[in-house]
Amino acid sequence: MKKRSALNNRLTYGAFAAMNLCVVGMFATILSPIPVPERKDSLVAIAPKRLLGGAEIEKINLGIPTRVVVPSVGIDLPVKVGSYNTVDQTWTLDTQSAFYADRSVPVNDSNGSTLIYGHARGGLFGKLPEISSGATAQVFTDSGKVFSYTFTSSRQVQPEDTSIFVDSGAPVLALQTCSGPFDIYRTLVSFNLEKVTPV
Amino acid sequence: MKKLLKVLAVAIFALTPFVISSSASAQAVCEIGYTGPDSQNLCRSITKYACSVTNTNVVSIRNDNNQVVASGTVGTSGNGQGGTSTSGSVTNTNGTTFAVTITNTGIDETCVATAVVPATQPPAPTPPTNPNPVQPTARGQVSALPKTSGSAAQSVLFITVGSLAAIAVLGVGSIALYRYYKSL
Repeated sequence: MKKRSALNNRLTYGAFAAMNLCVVGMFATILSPIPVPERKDSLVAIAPKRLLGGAEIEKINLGIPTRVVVPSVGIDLPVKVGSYNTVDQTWTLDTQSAFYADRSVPVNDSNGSTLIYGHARGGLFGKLPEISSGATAQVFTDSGKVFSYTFTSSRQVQPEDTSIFVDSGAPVLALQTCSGPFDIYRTLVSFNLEKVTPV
Repeated sequence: MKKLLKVLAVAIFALTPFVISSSASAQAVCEIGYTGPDSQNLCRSITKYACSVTNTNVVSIRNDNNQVVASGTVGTSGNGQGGTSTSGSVTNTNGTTFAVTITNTGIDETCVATAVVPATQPPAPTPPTNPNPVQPTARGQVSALPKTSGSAAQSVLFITVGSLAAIAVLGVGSIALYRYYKSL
């Protein structure tokens, strides 16, 4: 009886040790950073109309996004203005729409990156990481214009990587959602401006 | 006449078709800097030109040689004997005139000197700065991207179920292993 009890104890300890090792290993695997290479579109993006290279500076088209459409991944969402709360360091977010980050430039044909973000769920930006070469995006604005873009690249970054907030350079659209285990990463999908047309 | 021929020969040699040969060369680098408003650029090109022309010259010399001789007057008077004879004066005028005309009958060559100045690439034009670039709607430092997680509850449920399943599998496996070794 004593021998059996000792055996049971050893069994129990062994099982617990194995379980602990397994759980620790599982969490370590999940939480370890996974380097994700930047995916580049093989297509040559159509260069946006250069507005500042001529002798005269043309009128700039711009507007606050009201709707975003990415047909290849089934995204067609209303866009609200999202603000950054400096106190709790959070952004406006809900589960019904996408948001234009007001710390980025409005959609325009002149300069800077426009950030639109949404939850990584079905019906929102859940399929955004599945975007592939040749994808297009349209952003409708409150100024009655449609900004058409072509997909250029997709990358996964850390949440603290705020380098997307730039006011200079060619006009770029960036769509963002969460990705990775426990949604610990942010996927940024970039598009180059192709044209601006009236609605 | 011999003298005349010598003169002619010298003249012909002197005016023999001549060749002046040299080359037209020019080397200069003209650096152009900023060409925008209020720009100042000085481009100085120093070039030496030389031409090479071949001519065929025909020399035509005409010579007129006129000699005039006038005999003097000889006179005798009152003598049985031979009187005094006095020769008269003799005047000889010798005049030589020749004119030289050089006619250029060669191809009417035009002296063309081409200055080779290496072209320098003009600096890339600086696009004018947009006086009013588009600015963000709101200003301020951002420390993080939006947390656009999927469903937190779903994730927790998935993790919990997964962990329990893993524990159960491990437990069963451990027991099976123990029984196996026990049976040996």
